[in-house]
Amino acid sequence: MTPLGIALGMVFYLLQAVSGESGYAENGDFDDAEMDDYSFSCYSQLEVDGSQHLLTCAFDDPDVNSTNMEFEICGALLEVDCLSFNKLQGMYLIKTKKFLLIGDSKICVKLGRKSMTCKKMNIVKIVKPEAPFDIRVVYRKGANDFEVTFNTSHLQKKYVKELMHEVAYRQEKNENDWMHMNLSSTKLMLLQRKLQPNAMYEIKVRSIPNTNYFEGFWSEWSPSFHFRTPETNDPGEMDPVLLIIIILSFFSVALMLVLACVLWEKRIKPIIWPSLPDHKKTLEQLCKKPKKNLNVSFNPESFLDCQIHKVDGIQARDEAEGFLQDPLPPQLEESEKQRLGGGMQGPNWPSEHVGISPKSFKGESSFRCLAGNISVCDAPGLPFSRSPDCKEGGKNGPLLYQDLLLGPGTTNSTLPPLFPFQPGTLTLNPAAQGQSILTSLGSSQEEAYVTMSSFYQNQ
Amino acid sequence: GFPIFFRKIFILQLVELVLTYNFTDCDFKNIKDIYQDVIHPELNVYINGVSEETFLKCIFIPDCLIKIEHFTFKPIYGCASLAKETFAKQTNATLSLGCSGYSGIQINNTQTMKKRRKREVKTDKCLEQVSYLIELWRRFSRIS
Repeated sequence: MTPLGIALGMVFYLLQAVSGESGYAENGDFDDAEMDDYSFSCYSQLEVDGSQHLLTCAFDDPDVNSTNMEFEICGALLEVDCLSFNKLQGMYLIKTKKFLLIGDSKICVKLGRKSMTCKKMNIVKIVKPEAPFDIRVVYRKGANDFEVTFNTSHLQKKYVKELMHEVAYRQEKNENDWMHMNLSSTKLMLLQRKLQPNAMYEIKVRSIPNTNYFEGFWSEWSPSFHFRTPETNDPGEMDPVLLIIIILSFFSVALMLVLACVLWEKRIKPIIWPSLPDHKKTLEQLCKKPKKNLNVSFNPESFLDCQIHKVDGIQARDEAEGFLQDPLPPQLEESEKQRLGGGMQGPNWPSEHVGISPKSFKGESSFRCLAGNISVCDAPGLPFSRSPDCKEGGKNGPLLYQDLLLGPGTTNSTLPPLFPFQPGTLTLNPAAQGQSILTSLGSSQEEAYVTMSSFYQNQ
Repeated sequence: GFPIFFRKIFILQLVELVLTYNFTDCDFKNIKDIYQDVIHPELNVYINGVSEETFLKCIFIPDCLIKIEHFTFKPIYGCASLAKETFAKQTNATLSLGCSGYSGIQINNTQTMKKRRKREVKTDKCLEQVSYLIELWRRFSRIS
């Protein structure tokens, strides 16, 4: 009997060792699987309904006859030893708060009271998070990127708070060309330059536990979000409004430069850098419309054959007029003396300007020269209507030099007369007069120029 | 007389010392992970934002676990039912799982489900105990 017993014992022992236990779990704890027909897999969802957890199991083979099959979990439970699953459309679920979340549990498939197959599982190692939701994409023009945000219910949970999210996006026309990015936060920035311009994109996200203790599987994908990228994708492209402004500014500057070049000599330069008047030219301008056969010259020798009346000091206009009208007005000497003694200024005399008074002269000019020679001609403002005729002047009477009005700074004593005026008819001896003229002209040439320039300014 | 009395007390203390688990042979990292992801949220739910300043400290890691076990499972005057709370059961399971040779505290898990649940009364003493536990666990998490 003893050897027989030993033999039977060994047989039973070998049978038990060979048979082993069934089991394949999704977390890969077991390599062998007994009763492959009833192999199943489970996943847990913590705090899916308030503080209640959900455990879902299903047969790997959907065609298995699950009639009268039940699932049961034992161990790692609060307050109870075992709990039974509820069957719903081919899946077995249990919703409870009584998961201890520490240690392994045993899940068995039962047919009646008989356990067909069992698996040892740890609830915290088969966690499947809930799918993210509310995914949004906002284009930020200033930053040239897209801000992707989404929400997850695990942010408000007590246990599985830390998740790893996977964002997948693709261009809609490229069906299987998905781009993937992992992140731990719920916000992501997609650079515009990495996307095609003016294209439709699809984006979605899913999650997986990312803690030291809880492990599990990827959640379901979130609902997809579709967005279109803007047309222009060139960072160097300018704003059209800015471009127009730049072009207009360029053309305005170019136009101003052209105008400046064109008007430089005539308009701009005289204002910026006025030129000193050239006295000869000034006088020539005064005689802009010379009559025919008139030669303007300041050469004293040109006046040698002219009767020139020397003007002594400043003469008033009235005296000049009177002198023109009357050959030798007797009161002229008195008025002249009074004037010379009393000063130069009269009521009609401009105090600030130096120039020739056009009203001083009437009628014909008393300054007559030989035909073709004239010193003061038809200048604008001057009373000379025609060129003087020296020959006529010599016959009709004394000639009158133009009246020169001096400025307020000059006095009769300081200013040597250009042509010293002598009362009475003056008949010039051409030779003597010419010499004296030359002398006086030579000494007072500077004063003449100064005076003439002043006259020009007055004009 | 007195010498005999003191001798008995001394012997009892020796026995207690021998029988008390020293928590030196434990997987401290595993215990720390369970505390951070499971026990800590439960403690916060229990204390519900009430924080009390404590001066309870532990120097060494085993010392922390000894004191955690003491304040979790040892009933005291004014707080006798702390051992039946969820975090206490999780602590018991954690220490049993992470420390070889630790048998744990025998807590009666099977209870008759009543139609009307008798709500546990959170006494001030119990809140004080939980504050101690939070500080001890925090200290343990830092030094482990």
